[in-house]
Amino acid sequence: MLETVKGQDEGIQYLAKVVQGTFTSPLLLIGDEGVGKRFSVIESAKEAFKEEDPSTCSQCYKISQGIHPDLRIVYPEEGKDIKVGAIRDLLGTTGFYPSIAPYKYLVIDGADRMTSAAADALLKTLEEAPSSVRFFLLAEREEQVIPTIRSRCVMVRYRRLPEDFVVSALSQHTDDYAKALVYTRIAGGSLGRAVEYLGSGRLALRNQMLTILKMGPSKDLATLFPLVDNVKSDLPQGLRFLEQIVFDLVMLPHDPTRIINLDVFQDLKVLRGQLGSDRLTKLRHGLKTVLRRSKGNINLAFHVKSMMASVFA
Amino acid sequence: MVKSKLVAFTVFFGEESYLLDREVQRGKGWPGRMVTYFDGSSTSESEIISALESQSFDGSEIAVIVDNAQKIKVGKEFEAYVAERKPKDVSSVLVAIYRKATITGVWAEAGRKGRLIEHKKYKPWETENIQKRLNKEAGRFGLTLSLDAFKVLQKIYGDNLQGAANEIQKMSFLVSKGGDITKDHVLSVCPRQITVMPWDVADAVSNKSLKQAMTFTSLLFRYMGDSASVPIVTSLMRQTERLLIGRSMLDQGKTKAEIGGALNMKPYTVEKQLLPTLRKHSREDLQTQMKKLCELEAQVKGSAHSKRTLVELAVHQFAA
Repeated sequence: MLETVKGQDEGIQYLAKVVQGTFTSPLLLIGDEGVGKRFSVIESAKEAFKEEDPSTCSQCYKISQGIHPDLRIVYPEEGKDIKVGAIRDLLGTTGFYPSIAPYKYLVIDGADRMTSAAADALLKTLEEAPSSVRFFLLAEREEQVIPTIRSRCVMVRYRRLPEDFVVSALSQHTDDYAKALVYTRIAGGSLGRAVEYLGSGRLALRNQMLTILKMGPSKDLATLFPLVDNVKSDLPQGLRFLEQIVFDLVMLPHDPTRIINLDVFQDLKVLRGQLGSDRLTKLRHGLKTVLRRSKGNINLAFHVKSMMASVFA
Repeated sequence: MVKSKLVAFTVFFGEESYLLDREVQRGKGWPGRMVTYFDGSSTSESEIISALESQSFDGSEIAVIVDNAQKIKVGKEFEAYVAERKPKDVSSVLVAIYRKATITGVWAEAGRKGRLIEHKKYKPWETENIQKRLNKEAGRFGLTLSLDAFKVLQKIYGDNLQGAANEIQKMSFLVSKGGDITKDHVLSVCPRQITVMPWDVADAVSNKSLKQAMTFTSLLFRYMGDSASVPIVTSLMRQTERLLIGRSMLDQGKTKAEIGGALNMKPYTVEKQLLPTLRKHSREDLQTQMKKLCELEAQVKGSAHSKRTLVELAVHQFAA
């Protein structure tokens, strides 16, 4: 139910209105991955569809099992966009009355990852949505949602979750507070991401990136370049970790309490001394360029190698 | 088709498509027979049987040509037809073209009942067989093929026998009947092909051979069009990375063996090929080159207008 959603007051406010039936416009929920967008919509559906006795509510059970006929969620496949076919299938259901609920919940989780044809197909129905349908569009990047969709929706921002909340949620998965805190910080206020990182042991990748950075001052390219090659498929994620490490190196002399990678504090201190301000500035600029270019189809490993070679020349 | 060996079923199989095409053409122009042609991708066994059992309007005999026989779904109906049909009954004949290296099932059975002829695609190293076949091709025009001429043809066309056969056909206009095709005839007819690969550009750039690098680049663009940009940039990236590793190791005073170990090269190759190349570059130059290649890659894989110009400018700059 909606009370289980924490830290997203604005979102809860709108969803509560939808539940009460006083708000029927399409909602565009914008926020990072794992901050509770999909969770809050599902909880609001439970609240809206619930029966008299919540303990025996079959609607809630069906929603939890993902088999409720009036709650449809469309999301992109891994690494792909939402295609027009998926949107047409979803829109095809708007012509029918809801099966067992008072109205239909249609959720597009990845409104920023629709193909232009898919987005265009959605426009007309979004503008003149049937009274028995509630649309929820979830997106991470606002600028990737086309303006004509944005203008047809009420936009609600989902904030990054407070650190304490994520740490306490992670404590269900680990007893180690320090570890939970590091995962919370590297996940950047996203509970979903923090849990995923914890489950997949993402600190190993962070450590690999730290090793690459530590190798830099030695100027031993024959060792450094193969290290970058080893990361290869995880390099996009690795670059995000590298960005956080560089942030830590910059913050270290000014405000150590804001450091993300607390568990490697000593390593960071040594590295800060080795790098110096000039190299750090070069590294920040280089990283910014690589991250900007990484949106295209480039040989990321080569770009990282080039950056490292020029920073540590 | 040779009349003396005429049988109810003739099945050609193999992967030498120009010979199989030739059989189809010969079948289509069969004199004195009413010819029905089927493509296996759009026909069924019952259509073939009905064509074989039909009668022509003028009483002439029937020939059914089935191309791409491997694509037809054959069942019991056709199997029974093949089993019942007498091979010597040539009132209607079936010529099937089975475009696969091996033949099985009912088509093989039909071939065994009649004639099963293979048109094998030879591998590049099966020189003797290739020579025999090209001699046969020359023989079709009443010519002979000299050994020198064959060697040149093979050098140009390799295992592409269709290309070589076409050249022999062209040469039949130059050489009088009964004559010998010589090396000069071949050279006067065949196009001069130069094979260039993207890494040839990278090699020329690393050797600072400007003229060669620009020639290779323009040849690649001529053959591949704008799609040559990405392979050229990729090969330049690979080469630059290796050179930078080599150069930095050389600066650090590492031995040939160590450099070879890092770049997966033998010390002899390092000494004879890599070191002379490395000495033409400084570490700073290679770093700058790497940086520029990053920019170039983003532009070439992005929406830059004249990708060819960008690549040519980069090649010129790096090789100069």
